[in-house]
Amino acid sequence: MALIEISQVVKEYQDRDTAVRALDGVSLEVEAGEFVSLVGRSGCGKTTLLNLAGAMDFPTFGVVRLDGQSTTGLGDGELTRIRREKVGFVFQFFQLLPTLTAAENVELPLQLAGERDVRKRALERLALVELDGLADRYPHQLSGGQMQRVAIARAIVHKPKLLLADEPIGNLDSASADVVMRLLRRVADELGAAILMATHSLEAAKITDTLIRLRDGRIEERRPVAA
Amino acid sequence: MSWAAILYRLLGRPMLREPGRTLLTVFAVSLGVAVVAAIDLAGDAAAGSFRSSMESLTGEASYEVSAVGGLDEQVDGKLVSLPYDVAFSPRVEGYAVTQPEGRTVPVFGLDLLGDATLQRAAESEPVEFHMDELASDTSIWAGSGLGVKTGETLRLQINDQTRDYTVRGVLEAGGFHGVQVENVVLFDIAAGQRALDKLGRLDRVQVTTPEDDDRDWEAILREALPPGVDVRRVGTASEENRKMLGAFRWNLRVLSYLSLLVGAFLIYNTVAVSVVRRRSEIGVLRALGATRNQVRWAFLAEAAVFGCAGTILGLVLGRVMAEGAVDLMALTVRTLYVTSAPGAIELTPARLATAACGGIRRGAACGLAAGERSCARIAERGDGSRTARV
Repeated sequence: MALIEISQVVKEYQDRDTAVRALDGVSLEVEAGEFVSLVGRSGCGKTTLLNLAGAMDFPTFGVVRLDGQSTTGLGDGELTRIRREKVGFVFQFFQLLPTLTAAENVELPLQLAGERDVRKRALERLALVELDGLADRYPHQLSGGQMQRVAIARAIVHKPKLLLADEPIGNLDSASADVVMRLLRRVADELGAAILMATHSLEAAKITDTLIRLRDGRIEERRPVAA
Repeated sequence: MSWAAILYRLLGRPMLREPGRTLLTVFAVSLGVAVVAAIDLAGDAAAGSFRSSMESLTGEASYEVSAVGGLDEQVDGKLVSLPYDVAFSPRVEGYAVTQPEGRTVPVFGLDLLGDATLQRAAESEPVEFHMDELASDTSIWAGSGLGVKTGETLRLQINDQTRDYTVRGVLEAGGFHGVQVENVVLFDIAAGQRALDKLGRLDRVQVTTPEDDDRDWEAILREALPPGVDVRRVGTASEENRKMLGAFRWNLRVLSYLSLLVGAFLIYNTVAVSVVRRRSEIGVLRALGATRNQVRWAFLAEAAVFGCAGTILGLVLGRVMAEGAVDLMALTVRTLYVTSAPGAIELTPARLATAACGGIRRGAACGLAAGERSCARIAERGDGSRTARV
């Protein structure tokens, strides 16, 4: 069974009196450990697809199943639990909380889930992203690449089955982008997490398993990426 | 790791990192609380002594004869000539300011020879009167709270005249019938009329009727009085004054609530701005697994902190402001309502607790309202780039 099953999904947003269709009949399956890149122009529906896959939003029509569970009709508590247990997020602008140190940022998802003694696991994840020496630094004391690595550590600290990355290298120089992409590849390979990554970079997409090209809310192309 | 520790990291640290903004908000909130507390405290102090001054030396009188603008003293002569076994106690009333302390005290002019009131007031130490003392314009009998002893001199400013008066006797604290007389100054009535510039005038005549005689004394007295002079049961005027004073204080209180409203709006605004500033943080928290309630509680806690700190500071400020407000309020009370002297400002534990609960409650309510309203508008998406409803 696929980790994510998206079947004939339509997503419409209301813009004043006009309904804007962001996704139009999209179907997609992603297996555990599969690294999928979503490419396409701005406004083609990449971020909307990530939102639906991460239980951050509901489809207007169609079904989204995450680990076999449909997200439609779930209450706030249930959706929060799914995100807390099964989904990790990586954002273009890192979105580290500025008043928390690197280690505190990483352990936050565990704390929000009510877990205790979380520092050790946070430090392990920071070691995984090779930042264990910077645990006590605040975000403003880190470079862009380092911040994104902290964000990845935070996204995987609770061992999610699905990692959603929205333009994770869109705000990085090429050297930092390479480091981050290799790190995401390791997450998929070593932790077995499925990764759904929205990106404008075809160069970055080359490191993934599957490339999906979106155009005007529809899947225009889906193909495996040659090794 | 407790939720409180997370709250400290997410909200406490930003407050400490932006001390200017934090202090400004706390100060703004405290101003609202301070104004209300000051008006309340000053109102109590300004009106509190009203009871003692109005009821001081009332004794066991049953009726009170008075008129707007005072009575001609001949009214007392008419009453005394009535063929009944009734005691009449004419009096003049006013205020004096002790020098150099500047303390305002009630002044009474009584018929000390014919009136047993003073003897009752000083029952622990009977007062002896000598004609030469009574006849002197500078003889006074002072309450023990004024801190003077028999034979000493007390400088008083009455109206625009400042003079030295000789204390002929001291009225003990506690007075009589539970009425406090420790801060009162007494004159013989003639000296009192001169001191208060009320020659030939009286403020009221207290009437004590026999206990076992149930005749309609009000009607009997009214028949003997000229038009425009009123007879009422003792306490009626006090009760009316008390009601008027109550209305006056309500008026001030309601006005002071405006400042509280401003304070509440400031908390609301602060939390709302805080929510907007942190919209992406809220999105991140939601994406990381924070429930809607956890986010709501975080902003509630922030508002409660501002409410608590503002309330504590506001009470301190209010106590200070009350010092300044009490004289102004007392002046208004004296001018418009009753003759009264400001009493002590009392910040009681009950008042502290009430104000604290009120401040925190207002803070929490504003925080909840702002958090709820603003959170509802916040994009759930972690980077705040698009509105998505979960």
